[in-house]
Amino acid sequence: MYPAADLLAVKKPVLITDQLAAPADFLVFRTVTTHLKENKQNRCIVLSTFNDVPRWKAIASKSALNVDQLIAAGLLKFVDILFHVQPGASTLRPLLDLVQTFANDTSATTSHLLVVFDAISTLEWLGFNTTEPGRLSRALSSFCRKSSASLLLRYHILDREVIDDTFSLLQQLAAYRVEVRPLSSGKSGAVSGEICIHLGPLHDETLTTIEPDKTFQYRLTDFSATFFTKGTGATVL
Amino acid sequence: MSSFKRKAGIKTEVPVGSRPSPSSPSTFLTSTGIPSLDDILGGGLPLSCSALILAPDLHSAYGDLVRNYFLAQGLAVGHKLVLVDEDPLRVFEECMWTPPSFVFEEDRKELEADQQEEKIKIAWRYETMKQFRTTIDSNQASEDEYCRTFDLTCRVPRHIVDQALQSGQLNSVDLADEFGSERGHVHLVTKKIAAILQASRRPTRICVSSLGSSSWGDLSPQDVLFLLATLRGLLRQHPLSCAIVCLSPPVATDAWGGPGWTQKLGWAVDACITMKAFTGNPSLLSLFPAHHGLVQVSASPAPHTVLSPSDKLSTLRGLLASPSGAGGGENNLAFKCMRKRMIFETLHLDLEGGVGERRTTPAPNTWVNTINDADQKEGIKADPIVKIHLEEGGPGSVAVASRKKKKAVGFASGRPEISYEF
Repeated sequence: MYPAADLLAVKKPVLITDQLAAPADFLVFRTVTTHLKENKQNRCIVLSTFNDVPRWKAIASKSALNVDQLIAAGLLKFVDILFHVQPGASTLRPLLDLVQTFANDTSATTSHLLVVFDAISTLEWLGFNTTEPGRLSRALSSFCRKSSASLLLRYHILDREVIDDTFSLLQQLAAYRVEVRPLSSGKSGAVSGEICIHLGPLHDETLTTIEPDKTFQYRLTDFSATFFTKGTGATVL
Repeated sequence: MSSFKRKAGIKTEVPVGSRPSPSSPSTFLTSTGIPSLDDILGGGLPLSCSALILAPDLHSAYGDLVRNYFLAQGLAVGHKLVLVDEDPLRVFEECMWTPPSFVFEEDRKELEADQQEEKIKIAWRYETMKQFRTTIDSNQASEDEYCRTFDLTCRVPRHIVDQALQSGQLNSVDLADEFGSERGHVHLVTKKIAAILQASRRPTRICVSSLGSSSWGDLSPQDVLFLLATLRGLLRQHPLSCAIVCLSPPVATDAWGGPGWTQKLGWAVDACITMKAFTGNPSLLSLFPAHHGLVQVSASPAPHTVLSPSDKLSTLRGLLASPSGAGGGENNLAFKCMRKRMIFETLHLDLEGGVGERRTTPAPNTWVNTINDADQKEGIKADPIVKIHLEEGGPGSVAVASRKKKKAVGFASGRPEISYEF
């Protein structure tokens, strides 16, 4: 029972925040594979400073997706940010141009595009201008709204008590924020972490399947994750 | 007779010195040279992954010890080695090597003790319980060629180093020679590593030693993260390679890189292990006399799965799920460096639970500092004040029996003036 199954359907920006002790890789994998399996014409572009294509291949194969075929067909694209821009660059505009080019490079009318921006925090840490990742996020949000595409943003949190300018901006842009956090009691073999969905200022009132501010727990498996309500142990016991 | 024929499984060639991961057949693991560290990583360091070793203690070199184990293991199994260091040849020559007889004295005594214990009659309810162990059995690991058993008292023979240098097995990026005025430039190091990986056709181990030390020049936190991120990308492009990066002790703390620095490092690599030695903290040293430091696993590698093999398979970490689905919490880990080897093991309190006696008053050798307003203005006075009083009273005076002071127990350690008499 995945608590955020319908988030992409509203075609509004979704922000995923995670921590080192509870990385949200599984959510990104799940979102992308679900999106690509939903319709054979759906397309996805992933912007990251580290594109682990072998890992994508291994995990997507368990969902009956062939990453090589998707890339060859132009339905999936991985963009290595550091290949296009270097630390110290004054602007990240080339990345926006890449996304726009990819979005326009299709003749299918039923295609639904998903843009994944998975490097917001990393770009700040690598020495890029601290305002540029936020600006790119805002530009991607505007582009996706005009082209009816979905946007998935991922931000690493170092300290939950500290809210920096970039995080504030992302919270304003996102319609929903999926918070992935570790257990306060430490690592456990039965429960890998917790998920909580928060409503953003642009959330869709008609979407009633989301239970805001309710905490779910998840447990990772080799290629996916199982979700259950906190305090029930439905999957554990 | 059925005409059905079973398809023969596609057999992937296993690189030399490695073995497939139990959790993912497409992942190949290679040993770090320390069996207990291999267990923490989920069976070994996966090829195409990077591991970061943080040893922030300024007075010890446990990070360099792990580096030497990594290099020695690679040298023993025939991997290509790439070392980035100020003096690579010295590092190679200081690596440990396998002893003539690899049965450690400690293990031999332990085996003899086990045989003695078997003669002891055990209560029936405890017969099925396993013997309490804090680390994995290294004898089992030494039976195959996956992980060699190294002896810290033995050095790698000179002729093996010379032979490896001549054959091209040992490669180095000498920080002292390569860059001249641009010593330690991160981009040049990554380019050099990329060139070596491009030309390599066999498993390659990259070792970046003392990243951030003075031999690297003036590095900023962004430079360190850029090197780690670039190295990780290079390893993915060359799946037969792996890397261990050891940070210089001052660079391995948040004091150098700012708040959240160690977490940023964890995001830039596949595996991140911190070895916090007790050298700078005498209280911990007295509390855990059998160990030399704590081990913290911030990140574990998962090159082809969502769940890290370390979380699933590590015996020492203790996150194994039972068949019923209920898992346990993570064990506390520690390391110790003995005369002949280094091991990682679980950390436990002693039989008395860490406290040998109950106290209501401070220990005799405890110095309690009480600060009042006068002292706060002038500062803490270090010199004790001794006052001598002569007893008054002449002949015939009645000596007043001194009233025995009642025992007082203080309940607030920060406010000793608050006490209750019993």
